[in-house]
Amino acid sequence: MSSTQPILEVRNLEKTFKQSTGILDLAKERLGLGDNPPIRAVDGVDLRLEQNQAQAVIGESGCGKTTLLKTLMGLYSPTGGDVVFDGTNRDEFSKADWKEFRRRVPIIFQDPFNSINPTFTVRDALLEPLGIHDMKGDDPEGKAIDALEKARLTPAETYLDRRESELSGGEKQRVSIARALILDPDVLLADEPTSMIDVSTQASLLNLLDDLVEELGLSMLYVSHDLSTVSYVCDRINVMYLGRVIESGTTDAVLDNPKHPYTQALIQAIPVPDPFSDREPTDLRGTPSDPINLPGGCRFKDRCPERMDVCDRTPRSTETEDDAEHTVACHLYYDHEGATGADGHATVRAGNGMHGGDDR
Amino acid sequence: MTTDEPLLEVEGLDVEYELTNDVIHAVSDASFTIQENRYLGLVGESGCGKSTIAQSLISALDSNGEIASGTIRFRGEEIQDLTEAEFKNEYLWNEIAFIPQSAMNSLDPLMKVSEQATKIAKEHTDWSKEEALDRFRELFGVVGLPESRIDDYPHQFSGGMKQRTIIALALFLKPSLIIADEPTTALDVIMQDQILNYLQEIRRDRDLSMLMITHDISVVFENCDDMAVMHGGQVAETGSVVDIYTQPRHPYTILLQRAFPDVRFRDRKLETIEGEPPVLHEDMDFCSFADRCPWATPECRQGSPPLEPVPEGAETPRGGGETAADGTRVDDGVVTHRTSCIRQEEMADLADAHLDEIEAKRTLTE
Amino acid sequence: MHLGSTIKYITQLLGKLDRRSPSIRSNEQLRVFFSDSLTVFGVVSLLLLVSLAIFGPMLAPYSYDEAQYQDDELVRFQPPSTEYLLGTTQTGNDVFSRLIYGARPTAVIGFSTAAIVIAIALAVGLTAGYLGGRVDESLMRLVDLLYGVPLIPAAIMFITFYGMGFWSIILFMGIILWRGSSRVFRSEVMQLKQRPYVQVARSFGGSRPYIVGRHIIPNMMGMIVLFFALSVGLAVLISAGLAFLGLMNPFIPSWGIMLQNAYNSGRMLEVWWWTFPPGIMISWLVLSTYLVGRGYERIQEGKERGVQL
Repeated sequence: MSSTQPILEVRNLEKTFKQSTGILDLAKERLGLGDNPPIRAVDGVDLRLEQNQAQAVIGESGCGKTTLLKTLMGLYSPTGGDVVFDGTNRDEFSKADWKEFRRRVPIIFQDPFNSINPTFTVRDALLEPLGIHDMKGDDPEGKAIDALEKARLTPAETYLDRRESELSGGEKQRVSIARALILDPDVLLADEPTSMIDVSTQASLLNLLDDLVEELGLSMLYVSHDLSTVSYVCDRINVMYLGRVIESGTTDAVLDNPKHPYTQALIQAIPVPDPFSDREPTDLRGTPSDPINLPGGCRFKDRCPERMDVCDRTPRSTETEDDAEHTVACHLYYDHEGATGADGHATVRAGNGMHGGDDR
Repeated sequence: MTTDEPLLEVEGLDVEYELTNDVIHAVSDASFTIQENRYLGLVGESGCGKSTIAQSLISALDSNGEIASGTIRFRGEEIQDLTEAEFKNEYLWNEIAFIPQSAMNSLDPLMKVSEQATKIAKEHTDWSKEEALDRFRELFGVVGLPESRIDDYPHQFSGGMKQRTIIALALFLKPSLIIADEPTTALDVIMQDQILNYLQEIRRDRDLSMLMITHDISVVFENCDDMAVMHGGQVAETGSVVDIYTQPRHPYTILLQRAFPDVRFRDRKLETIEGEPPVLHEDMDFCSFADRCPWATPECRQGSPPLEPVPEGAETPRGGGETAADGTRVDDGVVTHRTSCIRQEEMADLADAHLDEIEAKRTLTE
Repeated sequence: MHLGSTIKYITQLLGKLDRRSPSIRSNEQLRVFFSDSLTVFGVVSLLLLVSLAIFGPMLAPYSYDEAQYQDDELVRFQPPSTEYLLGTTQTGNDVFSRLIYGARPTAVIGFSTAAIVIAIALAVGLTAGYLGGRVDESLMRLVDLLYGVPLIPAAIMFITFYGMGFWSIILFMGIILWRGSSRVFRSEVMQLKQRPYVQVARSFGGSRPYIVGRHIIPNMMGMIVLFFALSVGLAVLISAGLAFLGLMNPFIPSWGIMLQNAYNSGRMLEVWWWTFPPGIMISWLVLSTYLVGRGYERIQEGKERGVQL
């Protein structure tokens, strides 16, 4: 483990949504009637983002990655767990701390077409964060030009007066990136930044993000459903399924040696641009279960080809044998701790305070 | 076996959209063919004209769109001048089925799925209601949906299930050609794999032809027999998938292949293509890729580039064509490899040189 | 051509109304807006009527309450003639002049009520839409309550307590009619709130007033202008009804009052030159506000469909 402190750490983060806040449902709750199971969008997620590191959070739609991101951003308040930024727990943030956090952890969204206020010029969009943080200084326009250059939109001056409708999708994303960079941030949160960009421009955006991490010493949390692009930017991959991180490791480890059956299926399903490839189509059937009425235990059990009885218990994250940095939350990998068999009667208890091991 | 006459033949197609002050030349001089029992992938990025072509094929262009010239022939008959109603009457569902892009929304929310099937059957066949329902139930089984659910409403299905329902409807009247417009764009990768696989199996079982329109070149390489690459309303290159994979002759095809990430080769730097897809306000009587092409010459801007056949090189590994059931590809040399790049002969060498240059730059910086 | 240059002038005028509106974008949108002749008719009509309200009294041949005498005799119930283009009323007033003068109070009623309506509806819509939750629910229950209020009986009750008036009726209408626009504003706010650029601004720590003022309202301007125009039409229509029922101050010569006067003369059908013109003017005003609204809807539709390539 690294000795320096991670810039952003997430411990057992939970974000639960109640299904409805109508008056009738409130009454039902008060009276003890009515069964309104909450939606556990994020259900015990751990992450450690080091300085100068880019990590990916991969998952299909509904896995909770967007909720995770919005909670990290501060748009949602967590219902459980901790977020620790630069050593300080967010629960202990003062107003000033929050302002600092917001300056140092900006976000880029996936939809370029609504990422800039249509009544704004590029200049307006770039100066906005400076204005909110009172950081305009003597030369706000200079800062804007600087940010545009970092985002490789040159000649920067020609872009300042343009409006959203005069920019292409790729250009709009770069403006979003420039806007995020203008406050000299530490961590960039990116929500599928290239999923709505044409492939021919995607590559340059990915290269840009990768270079930003290297040259500016940024950290990045890159959320996506597309495994094939993350390897160009990220050092580590975390795979999410229905609110939990089920596998985590370096990019190479996860892509070359996926352990969790879901990760394996996911990688297996990626089409290969080669007519001679002999890729077998996935065997996986069905779709992720409804997040509202989740059964206890492993959430993948209804689709898992390797399901065992013991999977009715929630698996905890364990390190894999060959690589301490590669963790997976799957009962298949508990062997070395003794006793899981096909009969599944062995109990697997988590004794070290980490989540899991109980029926939920 | 394949006949000589193509099932669907598009020749010199020009499609324009009229805006208040402007004309958009969405498709310029496009030509490609789909043979019987073959699977063609029409691939290109946003704005290249592929969706427009899809709509033209089924006479479903928006009211401000019009086929300015060219022909579309289905089994030798010209169909480009049919009105939407005429097309619906004669061809839709029974000869040519269409799976639209937002298939999610093309099921009538007010009708049970079985009712939609019987409605289609009533309009085009003389099957009794029982017969129609029986056949539809069978198809539900084929696409992997529980047969008991044919009486459900669309909102009761998940996204992937809706997609498969549309596929079942598309197959219902045993058409000869299925046109799928970005059928898996909104779906997750696992669902996408399942659906594409179903389509492939079904196609093989029933000897259908299929046209898939997509922006994802990997999907085309994996599933299709033939492909056509489009850029800026023009067809850049067309031919069998193997020919184009092994011997791409159009700069756009060459660069596009390299721009797509490949999970197997993660260290390979992705190619970027300069500029943006063109906006198509003017008559495209020049190569629409010229402004973005690293090898463009002044001639490229002087006149609409024609689709010319690519001569067979000595090194062409002839293994193109259909994929047999065991996965090997069988060559039957059905579709000619054609490209619209006037520098196609030099392209092989130019592309190799380009690749070497990139390699060199990379090793320098590492 | 006159029409062409008028359109250009109007385009510039409307473009200036929303100073933050990007020039190129508004040109495209306004071009589509004015491409439909009915919409142009609506806008031109509105402008004409507003000009009439402002400049009319200067151009009217007579004053609206000037009794007309000819040969020492009050000219009453006269059909149209060269001196009195639309004839005279029961009390000897020139109908044509009264019609022209009537534009101003009618316009004042329309625009003032609309101003109140929009102010309240916007405030409520913004609060409910942006804050959501319990606040949203309570405000929408309030709107539901207001929808239950029947306009005419409430108006009668109102003047029972507060007396017949001009501004009091305007206030009354404003306080009730905002119910119609608030929901639409609310849903637009809820949509805008989800836009990435708003979320980005919030993520940077933008305060609520900042977000509402800089991101939400400017992107609603089209809708605000539209509902303003529609409220003008609605207010004029309702006030005419109230005037007809005798619930408005009869000394202020709005078109609604003209209608009431014509009715009260007892010879309403006979004196068509007095009865029809105000009705036609009211209809024309309401129609033009409707056409402006329809034009706005067309550009909204256009935006959503776009061109598929």
